[in-house]
Amino acid sequence: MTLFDAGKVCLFSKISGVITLDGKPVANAKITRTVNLNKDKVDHTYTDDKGYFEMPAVFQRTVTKFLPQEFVANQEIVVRHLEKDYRIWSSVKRTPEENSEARGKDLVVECELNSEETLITVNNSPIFSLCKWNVEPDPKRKIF
Amino acid sequence: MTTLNPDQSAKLADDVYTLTRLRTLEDAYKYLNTEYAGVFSFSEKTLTKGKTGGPGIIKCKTAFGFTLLGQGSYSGQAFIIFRGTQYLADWLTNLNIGCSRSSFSQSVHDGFNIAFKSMERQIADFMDTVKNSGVHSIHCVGHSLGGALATLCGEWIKAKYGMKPYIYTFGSPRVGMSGFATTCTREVGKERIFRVYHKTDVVPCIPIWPYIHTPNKGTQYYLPSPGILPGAEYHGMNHYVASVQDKSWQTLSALKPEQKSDFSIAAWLKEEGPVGVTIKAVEWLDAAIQFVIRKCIGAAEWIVSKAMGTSATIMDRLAFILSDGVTLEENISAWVVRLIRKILSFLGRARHALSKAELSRTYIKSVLTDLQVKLNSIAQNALSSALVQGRAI
Repeated sequence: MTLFDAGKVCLFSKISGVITLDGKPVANAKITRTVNLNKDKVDHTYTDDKGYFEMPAVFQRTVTKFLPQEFVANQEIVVRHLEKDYRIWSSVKRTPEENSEARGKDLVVECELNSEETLITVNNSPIFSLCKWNVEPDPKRKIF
Repeated sequence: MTTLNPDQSAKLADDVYTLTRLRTLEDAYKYLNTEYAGVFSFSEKTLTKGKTGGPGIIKCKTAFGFTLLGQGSYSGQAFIIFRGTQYLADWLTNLNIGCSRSSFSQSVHDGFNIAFKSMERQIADFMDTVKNSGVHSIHCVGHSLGGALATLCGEWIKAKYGMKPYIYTFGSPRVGMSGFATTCTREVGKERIFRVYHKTDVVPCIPIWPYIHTPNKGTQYYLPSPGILPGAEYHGMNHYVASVQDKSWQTLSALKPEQKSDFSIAAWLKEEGPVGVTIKAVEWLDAAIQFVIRKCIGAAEWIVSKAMGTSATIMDRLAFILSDGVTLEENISAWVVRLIRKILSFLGRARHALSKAELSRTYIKSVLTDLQVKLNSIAQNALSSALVQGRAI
């Protein structure tokens, strides 16, 4: 850790991918991403002709990284297409590290708007999503 | 077996952060269905009913806890789970915060008590459901401030409903004074209170005496953690989850915190040489303050705790007792001098010669306040210690 990075936490890692509806690319759809550590931060982008989009990582500088408290941040991505909103990603991020969503790999997703929402847990963070990406979910432990 | 094991209680204490942060109650139920299939399951019906008093979210200003009823082999068990807060440091380090009365009229930290009182109505609604659901075991679980709330909630359930709950806390700060610790331990039962803490977690070190931990009898679950500085890192719930993994309560109780006898405290106070800013020094100072005050006055804890109705702050009372000791016999005043010298050394203001005459009430109070400020800054500003460690490499 350099002094420059002190207190930097990652609220959402860089994400890229393709949006489809019934297998066909969704062009020019507005993508809204909301992250929240202690207040909402929102950014947007649009898909291109091939349904492709990308968004940079979101960082926040905070002294709280060093205080005795839990890191808990909300993540949400909504795609607006033909007057309809699709929640393609909703998660509670429980670790401040970058690329925790795909266990250190780049987060590259394929999202089919007309699919059933899945719930997987990665690095103790539950992710509700219409997307698929290359990641192994947390192993299930029999606790109860 | 109705006691939760360490893995189960740690998972609940960890998951409540997620549960209270999910966007909708529906998401929370889906998460519970996936992670706790068969223990907590929710149908579409439970969702749409949305009745108060059932399983669900406990709200303060934001969602702060979760209430659940067990099913299947967990039927007859109720769960009340609290999360911590990002404002914990502010609460603990507020020097002006006073005391208030708990459900059994004992002195507790006002910040924790106010937080609990603000949720009491909702938990009472849940308890109405609990009473009508044939529940035989109630589990109060929490990490950090959530641990303090779980402790207060446990005491409240006993006082109000006559039921003895189980209390599980991870890295909890000290909730109340001696009277509270004794009453809560006796009423709930020492074998039903599981307090888990890491050696180098700073939060269980504060607030300093006269606040003490609950239970004050029975078993403590003291977990080893690296480092000699009290810090923020091992307060993290992820470390608690890892430390208790696959272990039983019995295994976790194997390590005992160092017992400080009057003899060893006296020896420590007599030792010359600098006092470092270490977790050990904090523990010794805490024990030494109690030791010297006991020397000065027989039932100091009783006096300090009963005096809370007056406008005097805790620091005023301690300073009063200690300065009174200075005017007493020689063998007692010598202990006060040694204690103040130790504190000054901890503060980085070591003094070789310190005369009795200097030890006025005002001076002692200022030294005690400085000690409190220093301990608070260790907790609140673990940032600097993280940076110092970084530079040291």
